[in-house]
Amino acid sequence: MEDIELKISSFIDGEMHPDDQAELFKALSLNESARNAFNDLLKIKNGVREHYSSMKPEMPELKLPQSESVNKEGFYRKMFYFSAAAALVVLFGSAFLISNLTNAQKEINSLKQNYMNISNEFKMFKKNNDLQKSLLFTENKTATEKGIVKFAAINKTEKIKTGKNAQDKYRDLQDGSREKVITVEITKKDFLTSQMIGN
Amino acid sequence: MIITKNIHIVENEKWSLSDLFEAYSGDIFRYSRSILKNEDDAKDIVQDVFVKYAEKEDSFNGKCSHKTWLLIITRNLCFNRLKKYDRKNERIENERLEKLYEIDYDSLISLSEALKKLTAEHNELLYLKEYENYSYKEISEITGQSVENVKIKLFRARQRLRQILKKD
Repeated sequence: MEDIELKISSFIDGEMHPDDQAELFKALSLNESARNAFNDLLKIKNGVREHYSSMKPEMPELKLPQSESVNKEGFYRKMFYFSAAAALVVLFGSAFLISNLTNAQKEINSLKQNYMNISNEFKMFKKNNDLQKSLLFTENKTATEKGIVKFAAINKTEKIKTGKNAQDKYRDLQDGSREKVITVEITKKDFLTSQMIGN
Repeated sequence: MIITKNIHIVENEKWSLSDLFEAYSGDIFRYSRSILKNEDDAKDIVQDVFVKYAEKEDSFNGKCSHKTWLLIITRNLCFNRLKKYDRKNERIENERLEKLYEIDYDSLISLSEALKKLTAEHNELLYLKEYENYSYKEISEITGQSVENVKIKLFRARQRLRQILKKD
């Protein structure tokens, strides 16, 4: 009986070879129990199909988490912008530093020049034993509280020594003339730097 | 959103995920439900299938149809979910239901209730054969079983279903 039911099952599944179908129909015509099985299996087939066909699921909208590729894409895009921003910062930062270094170097050079000019003039007066004139110069290399080394020089001449930190002052003399007092302040660091580089 | 089967999908074309969802989510739901016997779980599986598909879209090689591919994913997810269930509890529950059924001879059991008494494997085979109308060969590709096994198991599934219904 099981053998014929297996054949019925294959037949209703449409998987039976046409040559075997004649044999099945012959068996069915002779076997009432097989015919009942055939009817039952057909009903089951249709019933199962109807059962699933009647399902009309109300599906929620598809909610996908951000796919990995999208995440990766977003991550790479963010990284690109971040890298570009970082590169710009580094670029401008470098330019700023180079510019500052250049300016700092210029300033140091300027201060060095001022220092040398005043120092040389002072030494020249001293060398010539021109006390009157040399006295007009005072040299003060004492570090102040702020770490500033003052090199003050007073020059009667109208030649003005300029520098970033130069402050011009005028002093009235007894003969009625007026002298210019030039005070150049060189920071300790600048002073040391100028010495280190050979001045 | 009501899913209908009246959407024609041309294979070998690039389909967006939303197109596939619209076309196949209903079938995937039915297939999952046939295995899991639970509507909520089946709905969860539908979402999981498309998430999985989106993750593995690149590995779709086109050797089978999109639908077959989706059903294979569905099957794996469903059986993985079944494994997670406490098997002991499930067995006790099945035994309890069986006893209840045996006692309650007078109650008329419907086909859908009878289907719930089948194993997940029998249910999925019936779904694939009766609703999807797949051949034994196609079912064997989806389930990973031999054609002969599919044939025998389908027969056993029907035989079991017939026995359950006959008890009424």
